[in-house]
Amino acid sequence: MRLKSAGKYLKSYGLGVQNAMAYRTDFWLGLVSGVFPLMIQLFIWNAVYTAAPGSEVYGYTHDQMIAYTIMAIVVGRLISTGFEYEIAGDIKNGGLNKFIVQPISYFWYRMMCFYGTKSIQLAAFTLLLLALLLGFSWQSTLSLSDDRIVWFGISLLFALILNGMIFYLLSLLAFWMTEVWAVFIGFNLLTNIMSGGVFPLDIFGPAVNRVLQWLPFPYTIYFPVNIWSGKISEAEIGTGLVIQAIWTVVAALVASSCWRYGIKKYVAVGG
Amino acid sequence: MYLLREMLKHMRIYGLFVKNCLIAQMEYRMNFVISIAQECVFTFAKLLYVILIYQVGVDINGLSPDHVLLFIGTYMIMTGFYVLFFMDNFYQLSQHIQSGLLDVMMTKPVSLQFMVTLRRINFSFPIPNFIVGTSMVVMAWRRLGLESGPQEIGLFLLLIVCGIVLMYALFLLPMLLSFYIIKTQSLIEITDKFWDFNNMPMGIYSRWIQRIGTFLLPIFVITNFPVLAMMDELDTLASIWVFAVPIVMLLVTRKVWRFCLSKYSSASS
Repeated sequence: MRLKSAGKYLKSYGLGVQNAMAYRTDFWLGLVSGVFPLMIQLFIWNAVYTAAPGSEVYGYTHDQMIAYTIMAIVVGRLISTGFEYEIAGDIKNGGLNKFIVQPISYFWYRMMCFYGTKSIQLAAFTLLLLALLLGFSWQSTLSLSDDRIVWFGISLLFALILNGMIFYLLSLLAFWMTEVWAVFIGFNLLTNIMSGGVFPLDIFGPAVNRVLQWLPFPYTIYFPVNIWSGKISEAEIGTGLVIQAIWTVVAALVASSCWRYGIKKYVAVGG
Repeated sequence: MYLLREMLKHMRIYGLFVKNCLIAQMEYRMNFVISIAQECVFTFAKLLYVILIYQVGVDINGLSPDHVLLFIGTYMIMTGFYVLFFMDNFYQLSQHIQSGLLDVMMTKPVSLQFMVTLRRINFSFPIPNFIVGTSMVVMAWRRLGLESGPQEIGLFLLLIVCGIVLMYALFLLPMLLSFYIIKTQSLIEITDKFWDFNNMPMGIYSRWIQRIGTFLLPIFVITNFPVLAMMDELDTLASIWVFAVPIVMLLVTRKVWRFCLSKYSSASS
């Protein structure tokens, strides 16, 4: 019986894997479109570090900043969701009906799909990263220990789960608003900025930064990337992982109570 | 005489488009407000670069933070014009082709290119861009102590108009691929990201990128040249190019448009 119930979610996971395989061009094109902002930022940082040679900017050495810039864009891509549009579509057009009458949890179906898609992308990314590590000899310039690479991997997984939860919670907004697309686009960019996906959060100054640390967003990009860049000390890594886990649980609890309220409002439009 | 009459007709129709779009957007006021909020986030993302430059506070390739502010301000104003006049139309081109609406548009007694590429005017998105962009330009202009006689401001505005024309031709060109490919989402994304090169002055890029962005895919001409002209840094060749390239690109785009149409076989029945 238990096996049976696990089976359907395994199937959902498989759907996600298939999805990632089917739309692989989309994923690669997505990475390519990340190349332009990356180039712009690399030129900016190179110009900045040339103007102030030998110094640290916001406590980052030149190599650390370059590593941050590259990894922030890649990590931002890897943890990005996209299912919020599908959930909102299901709620608006009545696609949710078929899930309500079936013995499957909508939440787990969506999440397993998401994890399926992401595991393929993560696999592709790991291969790419290995190539980069060998090609750029990053390990020597960043003094990147094997421990750190493992911690980075773990924090990246946590970040993925946390971000999935945040955007699941956001997508439930569709119960109360019919046109949520603009909200999604705006929120996506805003959280990307607050997560440190564009520039390191240090550019906002210490005051704003302290406030941001109280939000879940820095733990999706800024935290894992800085494990990689070496800006975060080994001692702080453990604390960060715990905070990631706490935020994930909080988001899950809020989401489940929002779902309970939302589903009462749901009117099942469409056939 | 015929040409003049046609132009007047199209201008009158454009006036009706403006009115129609304004009415349509005012009908859904909540949507309008949310769109402004959404664009505010995008404007903030562009402002990050300004924050960064002032925080670091060093001259970059001979450009002070105030200069950079002038460049980014102009970039924001031009983005405002792009979303005001063109964005909605260009995004919808592939939908028109897929849904067969293009066939209906062909039957109208106006220029098809005019009808397809200028039909929609978006009033919500440009608002944050114009407000923030203009304030930045005015602030930087004052701080740099640039001349602000009617001559300088007139030239600046003239170059902005040239930029708008060039923007139309340059950004329509990749969208014409919609005649051949179905999924244009990533195409749109790449074009948008390419435009963001203007988020920093062209001076920070390598020589090759500067050349490509000036001559091959002249996006730098759109936002960088008006500012360079104000800083008195346009040489003779560049001064000719800034007026010539909009006309050249317009002709190229028109040719490609005609070619695509001649190959077009209606999508739906």
